[in-house]
Amino acid sequence: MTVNTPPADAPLLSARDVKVHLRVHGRVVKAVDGVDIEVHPGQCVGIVGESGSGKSTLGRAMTRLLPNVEIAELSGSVRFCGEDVLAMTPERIRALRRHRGLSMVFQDPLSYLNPTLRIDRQLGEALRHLPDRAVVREQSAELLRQVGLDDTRRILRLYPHELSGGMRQRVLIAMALAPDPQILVADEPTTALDATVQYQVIQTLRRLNKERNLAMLVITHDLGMVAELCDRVYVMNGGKVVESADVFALFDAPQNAYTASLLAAARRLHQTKALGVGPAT
Amino acid sequence: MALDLVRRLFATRFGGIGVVILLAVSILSILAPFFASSGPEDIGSPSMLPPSWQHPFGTDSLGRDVRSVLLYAGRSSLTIGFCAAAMAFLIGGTIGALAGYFRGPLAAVLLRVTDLFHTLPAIIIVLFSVSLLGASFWLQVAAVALAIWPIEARLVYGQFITLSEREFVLAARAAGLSTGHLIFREILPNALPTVIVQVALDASTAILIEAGLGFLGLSDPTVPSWGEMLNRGQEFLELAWWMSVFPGMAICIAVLGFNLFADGVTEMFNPRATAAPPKLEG
Amino acid sequence: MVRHIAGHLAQALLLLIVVVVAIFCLLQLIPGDPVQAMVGDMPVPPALRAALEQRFRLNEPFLDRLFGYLSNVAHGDLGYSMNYRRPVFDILAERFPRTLLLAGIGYAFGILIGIAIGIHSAVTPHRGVDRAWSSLMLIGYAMPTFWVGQLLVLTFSIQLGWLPTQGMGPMISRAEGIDWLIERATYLVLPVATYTILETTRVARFMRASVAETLEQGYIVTARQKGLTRHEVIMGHVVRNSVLPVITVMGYSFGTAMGGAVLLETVFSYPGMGSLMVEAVRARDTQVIVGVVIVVACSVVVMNIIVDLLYAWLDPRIRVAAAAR
Repeated sequence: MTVNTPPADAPLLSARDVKVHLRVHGRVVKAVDGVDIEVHPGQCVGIVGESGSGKSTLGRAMTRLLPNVEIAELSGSVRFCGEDVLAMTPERIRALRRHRGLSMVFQDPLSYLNPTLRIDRQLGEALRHLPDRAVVREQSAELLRQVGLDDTRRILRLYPHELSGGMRQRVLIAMALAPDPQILVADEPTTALDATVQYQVIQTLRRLNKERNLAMLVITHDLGMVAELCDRVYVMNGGKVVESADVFALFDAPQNAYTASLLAAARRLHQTKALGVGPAT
Repeated sequence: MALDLVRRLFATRFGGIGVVILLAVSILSILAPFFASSGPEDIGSPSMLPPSWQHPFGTDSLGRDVRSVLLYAGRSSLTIGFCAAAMAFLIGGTIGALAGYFRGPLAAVLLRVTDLFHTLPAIIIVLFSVSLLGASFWLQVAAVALAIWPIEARLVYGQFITLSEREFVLAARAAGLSTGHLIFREILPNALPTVIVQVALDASTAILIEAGLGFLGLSDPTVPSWGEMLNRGQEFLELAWWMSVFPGMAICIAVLGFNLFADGVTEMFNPRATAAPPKLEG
Repeated sequence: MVRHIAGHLAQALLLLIVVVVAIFCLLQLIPGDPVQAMVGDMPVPPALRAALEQRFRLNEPFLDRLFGYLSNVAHGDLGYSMNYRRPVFDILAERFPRTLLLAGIGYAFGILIGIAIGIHSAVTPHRGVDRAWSSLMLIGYAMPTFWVGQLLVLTFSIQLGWLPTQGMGPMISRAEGIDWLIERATYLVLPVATYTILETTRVARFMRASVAETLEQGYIVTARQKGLTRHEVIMGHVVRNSVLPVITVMGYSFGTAMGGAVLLETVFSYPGMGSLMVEAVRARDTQVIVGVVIVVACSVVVMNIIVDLLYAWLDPRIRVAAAAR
């Protein structure tokens, strides 16, 4: 099993002119229409956009986990450590997912965990590269601690429905960390969670990024999360990237009109929340 | 609007085939005198002849042309199928609607009664009714309806429960529309596709049950039916296979017709239900 | 968990009592002479009439009769069949195990094969295979079960002569031990095969739909994301979660299997409870008819309880919640 590390300046994960056209109800929908993305080792990149901008589709195309929709066209190149992800054999992509490759976490932790299996069993499935059961148990506990869950012995014996939403999402992140990936792709990781829990998960991700030098690709519509976590931001609208910049530059001086309107809307919402007017936090 | 629905039905995988089969079978049966070479009572031919040009499906033990009897028998089998399903829908639908709309203790009682009938196998209920009340044609229809109404009741009840929570019903309620209006103009039209599917499936079940009854020799002896033909065929299985094979095929085709139609309607209104499942590789 | 079970048992018992009471009430509604109805198609001598009236308390008020009937049933007294000249309970005790053997084995095989076909149909990457299985199952479902039996008899017994056409065993048999077992088995092959086909077609269709739904779930994507092979995903995640909904209808389909017994035992002249029912209907032997209905209701209810327990054991959401109470 070859473990690739890219040459010093090359991106860890890159997408070049990626197009994903889907066939929905007989019509072709250009979910992703010619997108270029780059993530360097240790970097945290955010992709923001509203619903329907194609950001989730892009993320799932890059990890080869597209949902069950008919694909009219899937073109472009997605390179991980120089290898073409879209052209890989199933065995190769599986090998990558099992060790030092790409991992992904999704939006709704409840449906992404198997309700009939205990946490230790589900976590253990991601740790099959370890030699024996004792090591697996140890490593499972360690992974849970890394995502901020301390009561490891109890949690491992529980079923998903016995955990809170925030705990479930952190278990999923732990599962994604198990194969020691080089990059973590997170698709709306906090959207289904309560506000306080959102904050905790964002802090967990931030810590993982800094401490493990784990590259991240965060897909979200939450600009606050992007401001907290990311180094670089891509803004998507209608299947295309309309702006890409360093995070501070983006927030201070957006170049594109759409980006500006997104930021303005977020500020208005933030202000009304702060004033106590409108939806409570 | 109706034409548009028909076109959509034919666009589904098998819905069109189902409708065609049903139409063909119905026409052949209704117009039996035109398609049959002899009447159902004609015992003129020599008995137990294997299939030949003159008698494509052979003749039976009484000397009747099997093909002709088959066509006439289709009338009763199909009628029972349609009528029993309709009756089951009326009985079951009413009970389900009452339980679904009024809820509370009434619903609890009605659901228990539904469970009661649901527990017993259909053929047992039918035999029990027949033994108590006899087996004239319409009593048969009633007996079969008695066996299948619980399914309709459950279905309609379920539809009422899910639909009554939906926004458009809440909106209508808020607008102050009457109960009758609510049931007939808001809930029922939305439940219609599911109901149509279930009624079609019930008709196919009714035909199978009726065939069973006929096979046991307990159906109305004055009316030829496919099941009854199979009953006769059982006696002569070794000597005249054609007496059993062709009526069975007829039943099979009719049931397939209803099922394919039901699948087609399901696909029309719920395309995800029949889409290909996700792949697990790559 | 114990309370969960007890709850189900109580409900089942209640259902049974209601069934018996309902039957009793229905019987009262038959027009005509109740004694004649009990006896069937035979003339009733006066002494017998007096005895029956006394035994079944026919001249007493309704509620007394009802309770008398219920207590009889509870004690295993299901009446006496004029047709067979034996207590109904004895006849049932003889015939029911035979039907259970046939229907039970066919039902069990059918479920296992149906589950396998359903899974294969839904997970196979070749859509053609899926369509082929689905068409086959649909055609099998459309064929009346007794007709399937007739076709099997035509092919394997009459044309090919491999297997006997009917009955439970030969008229005279000198086989011993293993030979006897094999000889008996050959008589069971075709009937069991017919039951199996019946159950397989139903289960396969339902299972395929269940698997298709499971495959859409998020945790399957998670499993793929972990780098599991197709086989590992199916074994570890798909099977268990897809089987659960199928289990919920197992009780009902057992009832169908018992119902099928009525028809199949006629095709194969198998002396079980099904053919008993048919004979009783022909002879208007009400006591036997009622007895059969009660036994069938009991077996379906028992099966439902077993299924409920099985489901509760397999689905941790119920098991854990019940234990926590």
